Amino acid sequence: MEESKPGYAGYLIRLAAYVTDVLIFNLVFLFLAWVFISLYLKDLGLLLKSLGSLFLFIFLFNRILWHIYLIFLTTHLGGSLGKRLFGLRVTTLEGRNLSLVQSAFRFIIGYFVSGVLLGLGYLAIFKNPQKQGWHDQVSDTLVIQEKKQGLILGLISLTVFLSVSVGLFYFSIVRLAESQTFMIQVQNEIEKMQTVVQNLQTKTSTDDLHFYRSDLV
Amino acid sequence: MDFGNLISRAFEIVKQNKFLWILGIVLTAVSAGGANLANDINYSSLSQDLPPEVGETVSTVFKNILHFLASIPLYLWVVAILVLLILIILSFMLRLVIKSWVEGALIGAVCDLDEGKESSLAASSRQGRRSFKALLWLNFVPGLIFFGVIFLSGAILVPLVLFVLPTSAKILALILLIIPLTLVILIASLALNLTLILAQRKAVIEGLTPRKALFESFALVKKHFLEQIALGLINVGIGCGVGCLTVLVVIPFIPVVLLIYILFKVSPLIGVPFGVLVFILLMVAISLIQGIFMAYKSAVWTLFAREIGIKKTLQPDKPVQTGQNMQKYTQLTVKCKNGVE
Repeated sequence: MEESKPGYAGYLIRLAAYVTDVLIFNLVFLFLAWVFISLYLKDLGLLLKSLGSLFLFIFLFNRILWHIYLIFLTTHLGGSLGKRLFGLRVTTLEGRNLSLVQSAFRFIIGYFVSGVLLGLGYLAIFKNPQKQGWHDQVSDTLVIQEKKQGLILGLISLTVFLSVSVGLFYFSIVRLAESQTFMIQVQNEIEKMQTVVQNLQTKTSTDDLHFYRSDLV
Repeated sequence: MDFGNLISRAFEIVKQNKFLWILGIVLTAVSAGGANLANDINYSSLSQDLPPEVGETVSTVFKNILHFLASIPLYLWVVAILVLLILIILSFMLRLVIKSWVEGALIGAVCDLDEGKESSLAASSRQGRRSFKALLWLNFVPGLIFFGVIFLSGAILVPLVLFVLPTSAKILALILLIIPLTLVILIASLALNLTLILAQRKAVIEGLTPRKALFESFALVKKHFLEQIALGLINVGIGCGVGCLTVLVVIPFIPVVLLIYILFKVSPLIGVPFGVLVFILLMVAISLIQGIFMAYKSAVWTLFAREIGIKKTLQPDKPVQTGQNMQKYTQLTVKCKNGVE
């Protein structure tokens, strides 16, 4: 049986692995949002509070957790979950797994370098003979495709994670829309806002009239 | 010293090696003083010009926001503020780390290229990583000590003048203190900056410890003070030229902005993407100009440092042959999978 040779991983497969990683990472937050919607559907105040706390948490910790996810998995597994599913491995130039420091350098400083000119550094993968982006070049790393079969597994995982994410989002919205209590509460809030706007409009037009009259006089 | 030759060599090196532009852009990004447009807006005058209705709408929205914010429990606020504080400190540290690495990379690369050796983004990054600790120390400790001394002097002198001295002596003491103190601070900050420019080069090129590099550079600054000031002034002049160039780049965009406005009025669907595209192009052009200038500045100071005697003493790097390593790795993987090793 012919052994598949590891080669340098190209831009598209790396992009697909990245999208898979983003989906996996955000699935946790999407799931939590779905749980909150299911639990607190009847209480608009509590629902807004729990979702607000979740968004605050995402706003504050998202980038840190994302980098920990990438650095930790690349050091221990040779790549993030998305990359491993696609059969990719991030290695040193000698073909070893990255150390914690090298991994941190690649994902924090390297990604900063690649992203500094509107992500032009990622497009360098197309041009470089070893398919290294600027972040790979500055951190002395390579991304290799260990298994050609990984592409199929990766694409299946990408489809699954995408479907689950879209499904969770869709069912959350449907659940909100189908809940009569929630819709009544939202409708009440909208009516309150409409009254405020109407009052303001009436006041503005009366003031305008006064303004024009005084101008004429 | 032939400044013309120095500047043309620096320009030539930067022009021929485009990876230096990338490093320059990174350095510009982390060296920026955090310009905040919001600070330039005078909110008090803005609110005065607004009609009362807008004020009322704003106050309704503001009330709602306040109501929402009040509903968030206190412990969450404390956590959020703490986390924000940690994030600010982390981002400051990260900027310092990137700055130290990229400065080392630029100095190392220019030095190699001036010696006629080849350099690349990867090779320069290796040099940046090697000298990063020394540059981190140089970028942080001397500045911290300098500002610490100023702060301490202020903390001792201000209460002394305000509370201890009699009223008649206060004015005299203030005049006698402020002028010489300002002069001392200015001269000390100039000397520190000039010393740090050379100390960074000494640490990278000669591989000295930061303390030794700092002391030896101070001796060099005393010896070549006027030459260093002259080059600094030339750089300021070139910087003004670069500023004018940036304006020249922006000018052709003015009719484009008008065109975007007309397009937006006709159809926002066409106007918005076109506007975003033009904005991105403008940002890229400005970043590129600033990055090239930053790379040039680093190059010219490195060449200056070499001219006044800062020379390489370290052994050159062993070249890393990625192709061979890849081949070895492939063979090893095949052997492992076949159970040979």
